[in-house]
Amino acid sequence: MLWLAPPLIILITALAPITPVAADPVQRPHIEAELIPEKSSLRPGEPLTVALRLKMEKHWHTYWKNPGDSGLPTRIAWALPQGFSAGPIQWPAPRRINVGPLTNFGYEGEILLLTDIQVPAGLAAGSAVPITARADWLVCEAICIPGDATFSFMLPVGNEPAAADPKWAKAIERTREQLPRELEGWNLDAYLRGNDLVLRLSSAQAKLTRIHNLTLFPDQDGWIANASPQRMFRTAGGYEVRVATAAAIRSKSGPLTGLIVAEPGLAKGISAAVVEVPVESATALADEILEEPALSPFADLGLLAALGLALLGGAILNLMPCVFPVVSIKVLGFIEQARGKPARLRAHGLAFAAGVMVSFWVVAGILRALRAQGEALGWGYQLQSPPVVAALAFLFFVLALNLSGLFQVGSSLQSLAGKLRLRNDYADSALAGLLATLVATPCTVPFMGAALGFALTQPAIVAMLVFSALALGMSSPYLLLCFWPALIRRIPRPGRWMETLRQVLAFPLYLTVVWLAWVLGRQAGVDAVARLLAGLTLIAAALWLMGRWRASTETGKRATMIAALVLAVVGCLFAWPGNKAAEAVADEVSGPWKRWSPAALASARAEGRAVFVDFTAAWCVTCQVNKRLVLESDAVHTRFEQRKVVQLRADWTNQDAQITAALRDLGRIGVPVYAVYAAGSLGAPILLPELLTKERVLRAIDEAAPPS
Amino acid sequence: MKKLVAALLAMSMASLVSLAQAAAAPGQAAPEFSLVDINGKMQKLSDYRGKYVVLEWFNSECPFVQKHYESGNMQSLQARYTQKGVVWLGVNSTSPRHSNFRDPVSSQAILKDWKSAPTAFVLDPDGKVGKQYGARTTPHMYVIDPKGTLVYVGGIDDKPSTSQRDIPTAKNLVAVALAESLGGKPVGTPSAMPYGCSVKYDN
Repeated sequence: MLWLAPPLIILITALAPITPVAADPVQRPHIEAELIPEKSSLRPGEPLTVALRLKMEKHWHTYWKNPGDSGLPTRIAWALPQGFSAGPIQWPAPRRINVGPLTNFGYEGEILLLTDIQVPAGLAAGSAVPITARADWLVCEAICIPGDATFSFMLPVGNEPAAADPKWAKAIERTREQLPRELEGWNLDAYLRGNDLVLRLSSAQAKLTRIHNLTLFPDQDGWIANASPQRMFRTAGGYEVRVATAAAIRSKSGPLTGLIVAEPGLAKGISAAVVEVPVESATALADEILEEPALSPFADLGLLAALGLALLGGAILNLMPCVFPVVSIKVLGFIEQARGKPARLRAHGLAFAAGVMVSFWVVAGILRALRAQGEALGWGYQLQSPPVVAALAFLFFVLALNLSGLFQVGSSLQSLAGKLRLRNDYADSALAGLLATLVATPCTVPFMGAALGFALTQPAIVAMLVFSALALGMSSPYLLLCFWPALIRRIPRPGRWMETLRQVLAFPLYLTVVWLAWVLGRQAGVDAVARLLAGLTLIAAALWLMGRWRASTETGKRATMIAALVLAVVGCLFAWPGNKAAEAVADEVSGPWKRWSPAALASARAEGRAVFVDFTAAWCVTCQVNKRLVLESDAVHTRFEQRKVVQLRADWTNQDAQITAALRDLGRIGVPVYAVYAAGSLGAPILLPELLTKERVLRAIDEAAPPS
Repeated sequence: MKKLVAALLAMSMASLVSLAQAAAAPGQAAPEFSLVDINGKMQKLSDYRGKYVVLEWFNSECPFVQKHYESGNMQSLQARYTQKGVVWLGVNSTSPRHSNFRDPVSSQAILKDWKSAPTAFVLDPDGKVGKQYGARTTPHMYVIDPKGTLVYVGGIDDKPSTSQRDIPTAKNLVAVALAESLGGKPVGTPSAMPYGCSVKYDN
């Protein structure tokens, strides 16, 4: 790469005025360049560091040794006297620079590219040595401009310790300190899994670290799809970063070499380390991977934030339409009891909270146990079973009839939750907590998805903490009321208004029954709904008989009670849906919405189309609200059409292992999830919030499929 | 609270757009396309089945493209192989919103000025074909055999630079791939790193 003949160098250096320090900076379009020796003189046998300083204009960049999708690395060609030799450029860690759908690896702002020059030992003191170099670079923004500059200076030779460059020595030292180091204290493994290159960092001390971003920069092109996002996950032993492979990876052999850059750092003061690791195929590692709890992207949420979100989500659960009537009744119960001793009230509140807490533990425990056995289940799995849906319909219907006044069982509604009614009132409160949990579990509200996604991928202790926070959040209103009875006193004194309120609150419950019947219909077909409705009618008849029975004679009492029991049992048996689902199900795929499948998604993306995936379920209220109010609104519908967005719907009403797996890949375990894949991209999708607004969806469409 | 806000921000954060690089690799079928050329004629890849086809990603404003045109390197390659019956298609995927965009009329003038004579020159303003092929740079070269299979994907030569001085010493990988293919031999280097300016896609 010698571009000047040696005699010419001598000529140049002879003609040039001797400049003992750095050659003057040169100005080139959009960049300033300067060659700076670290020391102002040479000592025989002591290497000299020379820095090429490049200062790019704002938004302009130069390139790393692997420039990424386009561009060219900066190069330096040295012309040195005999006996001298220049090492390679010591590249600082680059950054990812996105240019449209392409990604480059390079530098913005000001950088120093260091080169060490070996100085021969036999150099005579008192002489002067010419150092000449030509730098070539490509500086780009939206367009690229190649540039070059030739620098030349003379350095005197002395035996004294050389003086450091007054202006730049510190910056050179800092740059040297930040150069990528050998990776110490971490084990590195790399393997191919599907279309991903996975790089895993493990360390015994991993738990003490808090890395929130890892980026791999391979030295050579062809390993990774440069523009695809690099996703970091926490593993049991540390971290892993996954990135889509390049098509050319098939022709790769030998180890993967490059850099791994961590934020905030791998160890104190070290943020970039050298990678050299053989790439194994994943087949040998497959089992190990499955066992390892790969964390969702919410991993970096941190435990405290997750607990906070769970607490908030739990409190919001109380406002869900299926929960609100039930809990309102509980509040009324409190009002009745408010006349009692504050200590008694507190005990009731605690019993209720304990009921909620234990129910959450049980649900979460079952979920974890089933998942451990390999069942593909996620949050809301309870409602994927038709018998559970039917049973909930019965429960809500009976509650509603009770509120309507069709029958009375004592003064407390909660005794209905089972004939288990114990003499102990506190058990009654605990049972109310269980009931509230039962009706609340399927309602995924904003914030809760993230917290639950975090929870299920965590060690058991952490998972239980998160679910406990959820339970605490849900019971917080009662705990507040119990511990600050002053709040209760603000509510009007008990009277006729309570009876009216109770009857009014029955209607949301009837609507909940309608909703559950509809869910059952989607799961098991219209016959199952008809049987359910007949069963509900029989139950209503049985309860009506029981209500009548109070006014009857002794023998009449017994007869009506038997009749009521028979009716109830027949009703239940008749309405009981089998556990089989699917075949009768009318898919919620119509009009512009096509059925989601991994293949459908992949083919749409291969065509370069933008894709919107609606992960939904009939039993998910939030999903239905979003669908009716946002996704099927005219504005959104039109925008989908205009931008030719492929609309896919993944219906999780029944169990579906493929959908569960897809949700897991997105870091979620429940619906709703809205994933937007940008046109012409193989990158990860944008996930929209669980409560959609038209504006947010329109904006997402604009981002994913800009107007052409 | 900061973390919570950050988490919420992250949830709504727009993800990065990336390019479907895996779309076209040597050994795979070349994705079909039909684009209008600068003379208004429809160019359909499958119409050239039975012939070797070279796709050359082009942007007249890119210094890397200028290197190969101002030196006459690209034109001589075009001439040599079109004479042997190879179909040479220039493709420009520059977005009409980018300052480097050149409409059909100015494209004709540019080709004339450079004495470039590809079989046809097509515009791909929405970048669809470019993204299908995973074209990253200008130039980015593709050689397709008579069966429609990609036999070479990558840079024009093995010396990434903007300097014309490097052309005589560089190994022209497109010429090698074409010579090997036409001679009935398998292509020794079926892929290489493309180098050049980024393709100015519509974002």
